[in-house]
Amino acid sequence: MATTRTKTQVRKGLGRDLKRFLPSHSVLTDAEDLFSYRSDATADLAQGNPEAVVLCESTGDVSSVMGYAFQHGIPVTPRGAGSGLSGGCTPLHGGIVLDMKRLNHILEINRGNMTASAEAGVVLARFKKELAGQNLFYPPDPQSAEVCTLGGNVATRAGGPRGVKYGTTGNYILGLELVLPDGDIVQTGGTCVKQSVGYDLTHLLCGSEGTLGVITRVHLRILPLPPVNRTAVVTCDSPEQAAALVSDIIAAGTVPAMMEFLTVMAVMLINTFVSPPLPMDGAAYLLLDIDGTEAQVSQDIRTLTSLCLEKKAKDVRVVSDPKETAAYWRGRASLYPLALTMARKLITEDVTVPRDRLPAFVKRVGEISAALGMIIGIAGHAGDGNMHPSMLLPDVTEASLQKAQKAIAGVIRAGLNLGGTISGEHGIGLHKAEFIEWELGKNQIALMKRIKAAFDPKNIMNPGKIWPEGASKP
Amino acid sequence: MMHLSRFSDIMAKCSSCAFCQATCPVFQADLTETHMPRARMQIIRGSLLRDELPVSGRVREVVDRCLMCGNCHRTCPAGVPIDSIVACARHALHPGGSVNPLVRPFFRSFLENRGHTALAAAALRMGRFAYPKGLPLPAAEPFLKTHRGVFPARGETRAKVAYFVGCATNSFYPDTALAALRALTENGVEVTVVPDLSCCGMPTLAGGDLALAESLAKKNIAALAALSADAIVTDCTTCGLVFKKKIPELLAEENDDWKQKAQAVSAKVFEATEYLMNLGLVKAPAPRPVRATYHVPCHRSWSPGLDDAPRRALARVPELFLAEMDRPDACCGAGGAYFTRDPVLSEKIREPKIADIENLSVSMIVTQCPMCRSYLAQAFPEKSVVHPVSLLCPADAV
Repeated sequence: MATTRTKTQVRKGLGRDLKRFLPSHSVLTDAEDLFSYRSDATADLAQGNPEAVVLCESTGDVSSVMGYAFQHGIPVTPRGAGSGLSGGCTPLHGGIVLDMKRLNHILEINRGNMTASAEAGVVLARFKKELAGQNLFYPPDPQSAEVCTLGGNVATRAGGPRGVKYGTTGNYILGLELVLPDGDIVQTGGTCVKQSVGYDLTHLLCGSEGTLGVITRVHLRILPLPPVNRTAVVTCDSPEQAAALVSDIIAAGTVPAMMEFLTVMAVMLINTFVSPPLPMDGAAYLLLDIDGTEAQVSQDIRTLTSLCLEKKAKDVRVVSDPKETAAYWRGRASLYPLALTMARKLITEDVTVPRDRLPAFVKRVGEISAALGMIIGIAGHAGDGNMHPSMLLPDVTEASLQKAQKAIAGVIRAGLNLGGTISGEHGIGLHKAEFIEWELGKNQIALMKRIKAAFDPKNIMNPGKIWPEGASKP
Repeated sequence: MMHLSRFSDIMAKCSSCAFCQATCPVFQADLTETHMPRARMQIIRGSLLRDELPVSGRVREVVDRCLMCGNCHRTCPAGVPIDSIVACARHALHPGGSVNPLVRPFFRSFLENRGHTALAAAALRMGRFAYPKGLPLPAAEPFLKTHRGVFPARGETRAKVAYFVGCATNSFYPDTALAALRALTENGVEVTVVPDLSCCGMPTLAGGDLALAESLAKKNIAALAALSADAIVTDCTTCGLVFKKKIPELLAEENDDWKQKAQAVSAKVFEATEYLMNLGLVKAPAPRPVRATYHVPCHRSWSPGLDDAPRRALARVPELFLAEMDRPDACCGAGGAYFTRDPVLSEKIREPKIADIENLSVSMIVTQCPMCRSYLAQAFPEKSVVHPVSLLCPADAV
């Protein structure tokens, strides 16, 4: 598990130097400010104070900071909302944090080309709302949509429940503006939906977690807004039954926009949002959203209702009132923080398996949970095989942490054995770094490190992330 | 007295998810994480409960740069009451409260006696220098000076309520209190205006004067618990929040008698518009040929129907057209009297609200909170800014 750097050794004159080429209100060096930027949404796993925070307002700001940092070999960590779940923007090696939230302009919504361009700090929910107002749609929907930024989404290849039908951020990114570690600015890709020129740097940057450069602008593909959507909840007798239904529903030809797997514990938490409450007599549940035209949605609802009942599901509830529907999904979006209210500590994994291996995975997680005597919740975006097994720790003791570590390793190994991946949408950051070699193997890691070195020869971009041993401290 | 340490366990429930960025008006204006609720709470804990940060001027700045709108508490999936934590932190950082010691006795007298006593009123008139800039001047006669006792229902008595008039309404908008009284009695509600109540205590919580907050709470709870009313209605969303949530929290360490009384009072508290809409109108409201919009006050978490009731009420007003803002529930920046202390920040928060309203070409703004009302009225002197309950008076009572 990652360590915590508690003491800040601030490079002498760093703030003064930065203020030479930036407005002084854009540079924060007070202890309280540095304290506020020491982690993301995994504060209890690792923290590290930066030595300065720069509130960037333009690509020029980013470029000038990078030029300075490159010259002096100072680590730089780009940061969106600080809502990530992997420790990706935790400045473990100090240095400069680039707060990108003030680069928040939507530059273009092009209906004729079905693309949009925006600065990296634009909040996803605002972007979606702006598009929805024009009957347009950007599907990726990480559960932190109300706060997370487009730049952060691209940097972590963020997903969300809609992955099952619409894919994730990587399926929408067409181009970006990137500030390289030495301050040079490059434009990769563009706004063409077809591109075949040279290496696809755009998609290499997508998921690069701030280790190759700083994303300052993004060009995204957008879609027409589906006119109708309806939510359904399927109550099942066992987690295995629910998991098996996931592939059955898709094999039957219906592709829900979202298909979430929920345990009875998750439903109990969601019930604080919905009325009437969901029945608590199931052992597992599927929460689905079907979208499309009225005819399509009605047909899909009929198909999946009869299929679920034929496969002996206990109950299928269909919700069509938009306000009520929103309550279910708001409950789902709040599951992670809500789950934390039940435990002293919560460690959420992001294992993804091929959809048809879900029943085997769910069964294996159940066995691990029983063998270790540790509560492991397994809510997840089951529709695309992306599960979030969550270890709930009743206390934070050495014994509990060791047990959790065993559980994490077991769950990750189980996922990999089933042909899965250790992260579907959160990224590696700090917290999955120790497992990356299990999935990629030595040769692939060596290749990736050569790519990293080509971009960032001085290893100043978000050092200590992705790679297990960390980049050596500059 | 309520102490910061009481919130240690609930603070530990913060998962650092950052969802509070979405609704904190200060963060939205500053776009600096130091001024988001997550950091505000961590800085308070780090400096006042743990040995992580020294108490510095910057800590004070962070703690004071909060409108106490409670939006973070409402948004937090773990329900961390950051507003109460800020109140405790202010108590620790500003012994005796943040109000200027010279003004403190007048402030106290104003809160305890409501309706600016002769002494306080004279001080206000003579000493404008000490009077918060931007705050409306009190009306010549506060509502409570002229209206006390029992006001019978017109027609059949459908319910009996006690009316808790907010201080701001009492002093700045006595016409609204009068309208609430009329709307209730005309619709078959007997109203008791209880004499000798004090301010609900929100200004003292916001100023960190927890001792005064507690004594005001006890005085009010003792008086209100002794009544046999079906309900306690208030025109003010902030008073409602205090009675519903803050007083039970404030008195949580008192003996069972106090706790039970506070709970009993809390259970009976309703916002006037919502109460009347839930009871059902007997008489049709007077026609108002206007285009209006509704601003949702931040202090709304205490009653789930609080933002829906005015919309239902406006739908019942003949000839009134409701035009919805893009973000009706975004903060207006007032933060009680916060705008008098930090007009720069408040104006920055109000800017998008003004743009939102300007897009609608309305001539009326409706909102339940008297301070939102006052602050929006300053931005739109040509528009009428009113409380929804005043639109529920029937034609023959207007």
